[in-house]
Amino acid sequence: MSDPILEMLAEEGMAHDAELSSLLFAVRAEATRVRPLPSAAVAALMPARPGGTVRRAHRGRRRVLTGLIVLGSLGIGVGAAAASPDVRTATQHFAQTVLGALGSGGEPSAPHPAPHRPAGVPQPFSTGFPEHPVATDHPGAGKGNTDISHVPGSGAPTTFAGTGSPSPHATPSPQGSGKSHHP
Amino acid sequence: MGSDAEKSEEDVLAERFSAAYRQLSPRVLGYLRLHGVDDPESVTQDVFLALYPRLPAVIGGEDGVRTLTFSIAHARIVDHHRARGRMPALVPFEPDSDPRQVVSAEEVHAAMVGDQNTLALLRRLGDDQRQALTLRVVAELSLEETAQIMGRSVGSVKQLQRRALEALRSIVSEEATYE
Repeated sequence: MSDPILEMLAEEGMAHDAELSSLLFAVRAEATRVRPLPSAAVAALMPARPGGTVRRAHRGRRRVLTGLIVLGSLGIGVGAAAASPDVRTATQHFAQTVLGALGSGGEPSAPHPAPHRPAGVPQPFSTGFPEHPVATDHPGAGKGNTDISHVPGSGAPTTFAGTGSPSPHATPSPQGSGKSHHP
Repeated sequence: MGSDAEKSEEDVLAERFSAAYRQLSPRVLGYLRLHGVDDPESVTQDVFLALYPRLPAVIGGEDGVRTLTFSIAHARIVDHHRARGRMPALVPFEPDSDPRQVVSAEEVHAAMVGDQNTLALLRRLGDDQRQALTLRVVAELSLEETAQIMGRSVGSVKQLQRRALEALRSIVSEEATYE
């Protein structure tokens, strides 16, 4: 069976009009160039596989959004912790308790009052901290990050990975949806 | 047992619907675009949502599904023009006697730029001529199917088709003279 365009031109006695036929082929090619993605309602009426493709794209986008939200929250949390003297003190006490216990044979030591060190004295937090934990007001010391990593709930990377997984409730089966739309 | 049979019917329906969408949605979208429907992507989705419940009753295989799909799309175009207060012309359109059919320099330039402008050429036809031609060329329907969708006789559609082709022919010739 010949092409419908050529068939139509033949019906009108224009079968040999190459210019007109190429124009009509161009019209058809241009008019059918865009393949529309099915909307959610239409995809729900289709079998699982094509619908699944659409949902996977949504799922990936949702993962990225969740990651950004968690990272943003982490940044705010770290900033707030670094800025708050209360948090620094609480963190200090917690670290003292934990590291003191580790350093003294498992018995937690009583918290010491924080001695004031001159600003010029280097404060290698990771090595010197077990002996004499110090709360420093030096803003650029980066202690906030170190402290936060020891605070309960600081397992943010673990939480991030966990929240990245798609919720089964957020992506209902298309088959199920399709049936629900069946008249 | 009964539910298994029912599920199987639903699966078959879903697959049939999916195949129809895959095969026809680009043509439906192009058809709606050519007739100036606002938000043609959204209307394309409406067309297929309207097709789904009627699909089990369709006879004639793929041809039957195609005819029904474009019947729905055609009805949407008519609704659209009614809603805009611009009913499609119900009398044969004579481009030669219409003073609006003057070829502007902009149109000629646009026609020479690229494929996108082939669609602009069709917009220079009358509504009914364009309907007949797009149903034949874009939807790939037969003369009889086109007549059924447009609610006209086969002879009337054939006449519209001939006039549309002649009008396009003259447009192409005019462009050749501008070149």
